[in-house]
Amino acid sequence: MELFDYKLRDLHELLHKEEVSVTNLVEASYKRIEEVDEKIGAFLRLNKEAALEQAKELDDQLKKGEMDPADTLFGLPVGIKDNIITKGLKTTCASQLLDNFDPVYNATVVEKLAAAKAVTIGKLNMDEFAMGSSNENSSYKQVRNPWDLNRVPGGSSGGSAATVAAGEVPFSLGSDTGGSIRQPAAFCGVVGLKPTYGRVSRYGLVAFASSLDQIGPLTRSVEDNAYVMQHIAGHDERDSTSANVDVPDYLAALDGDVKGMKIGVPEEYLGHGIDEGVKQKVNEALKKLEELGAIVQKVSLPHSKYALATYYILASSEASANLSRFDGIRYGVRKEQDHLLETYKHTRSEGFGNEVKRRIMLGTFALSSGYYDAYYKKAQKVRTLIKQDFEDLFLNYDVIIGPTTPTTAFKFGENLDDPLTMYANDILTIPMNLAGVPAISVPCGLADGLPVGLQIIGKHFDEESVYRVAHAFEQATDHHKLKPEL
Amino acid sequence: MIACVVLLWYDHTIVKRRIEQIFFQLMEVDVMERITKNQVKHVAHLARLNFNEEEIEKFAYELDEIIGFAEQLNEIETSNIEPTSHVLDVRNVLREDEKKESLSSEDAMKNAPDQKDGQFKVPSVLD
Repeated sequence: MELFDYKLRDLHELLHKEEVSVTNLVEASYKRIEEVDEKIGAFLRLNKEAALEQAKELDDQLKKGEMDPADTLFGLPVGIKDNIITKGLKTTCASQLLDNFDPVYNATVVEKLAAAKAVTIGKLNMDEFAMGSSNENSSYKQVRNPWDLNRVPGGSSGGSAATVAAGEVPFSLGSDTGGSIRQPAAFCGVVGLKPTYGRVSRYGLVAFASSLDQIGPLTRSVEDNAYVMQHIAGHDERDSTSANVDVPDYLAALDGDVKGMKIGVPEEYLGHGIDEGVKQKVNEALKKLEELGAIVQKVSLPHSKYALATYYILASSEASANLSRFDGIRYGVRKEQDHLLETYKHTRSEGFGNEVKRRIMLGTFALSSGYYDAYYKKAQKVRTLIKQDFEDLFLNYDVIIGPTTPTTAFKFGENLDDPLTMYANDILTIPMNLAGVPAISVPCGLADGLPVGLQIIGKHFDEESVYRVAHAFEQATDHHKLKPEL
Repeated sequence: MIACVVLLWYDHTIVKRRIEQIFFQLMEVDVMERITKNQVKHVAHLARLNFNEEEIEKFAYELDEIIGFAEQLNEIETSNIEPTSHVLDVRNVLREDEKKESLSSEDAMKNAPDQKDGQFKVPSVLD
């Protein structure tokens, strides 16, 4: 058994009993990265020197018996998506425009991990500015799927999912705007949660679409996920959209009891356009949950077919506004010209990649004079209907379940030429961002040797029910024990 | 073989658009364009982006397709629906206007591409 096959809670125990040291864990992480990351491409940058130094200090504390039991992440290695800013550790969003960006403060989630004494191993590859579903839009290098190196890991948190699947780190943080945690988690066979909008602070997350973005954990098991979530959830006065709602004890929800819980399965999520292999695995999972005593019923989310169009108008509009700050004046790689206006234009045109420019153009168009009502306002109205669909269902159901993605991981280049086909990958994950509800992807088996993700969706701030069902399913099956051979 | 090459070329979006344009011109049919090249140039200026002619043409085609796709939203009657302003029922948060610690000017300037006397330096704004 490898060190990172242990649950986080068990690693914490092993540290406590001094059966392993923090240095062991951190060195194991870097050793694995050295062995496999040339193939996987998950890390853009390592924090090796500082991490090993921190490990030494933590080991000293361990020896002196100064480990605080409340610091349940004490000494545990973590990888951080490169759109979450880390003081003193370069943060680029996988964009050439931010190639030299050295943050002067930490994101709230990074502060929280540091307070719990986790050790940052490095920064993880992603689609540029989190725009993409295959990680092919990184301006640095490709991330490869550990299950099949000829296939994409999903995106935009492709590095965050692949690194956990490849056993380089036991957990990572990603961000999810339209499926960017759940879709790569499904493609790489790991557990990924997009929390309720407002549950985790976005302070220090480089904004893509502010009304949709959420940070969440990627892990090998549901228990590990809840274990990390306990630390990063909670109100933050530095994020005005952060919700002041008490954080429950997530681990307490993992009692395996789903008897009598009502599960709705939207017919739209198992219909046209979903691969047979994916459907089969999801249906098997639903049968398993019935065996465990849950009540499974067919339901409908009638406006879900409009989610994709709604999302691309809204997310691109917000992106065009958010990314206007990248002008080469206060930070970033400036392409200086004789005049200011041309400096802006050269900096942005040379610094941004094609997908980012495409979305800025779409968003600028949708917000431009004469088109605002027809596109942006219309989309916000449809968003209300999509959100109401969920609210209606949650009057009668505890959770909603379907597949995370229409297919398993696809090959490189397969969808690159056609933006609409690429965007359709997110059709099952986008509605939850539009509605702000929490959703998790858990492994539910392999189809043709590739992982399939089961998506479990809950009410606003009811991550507990999501975790409860996910954990009960996981423990009743062996899917989470499958590992890619590297 | 030749047919294969032609097909491959046809697959390329710009070529496809050209062929369609020529076809419609020959047929003397008005092409209903949602996005014209001039609109793309205007939007690019608003977004502070530069593109060459080929890129402008590509964007006109791609944006047209995406906008065409988005027009399916017109199928839904929404005149009595409130647009979403926030997914949760939240209120504005107010606080006292108190002086607090903030970034030092040194930190704030740390990533500046160009600076002078503690200020960001930019190229000339006017001629």
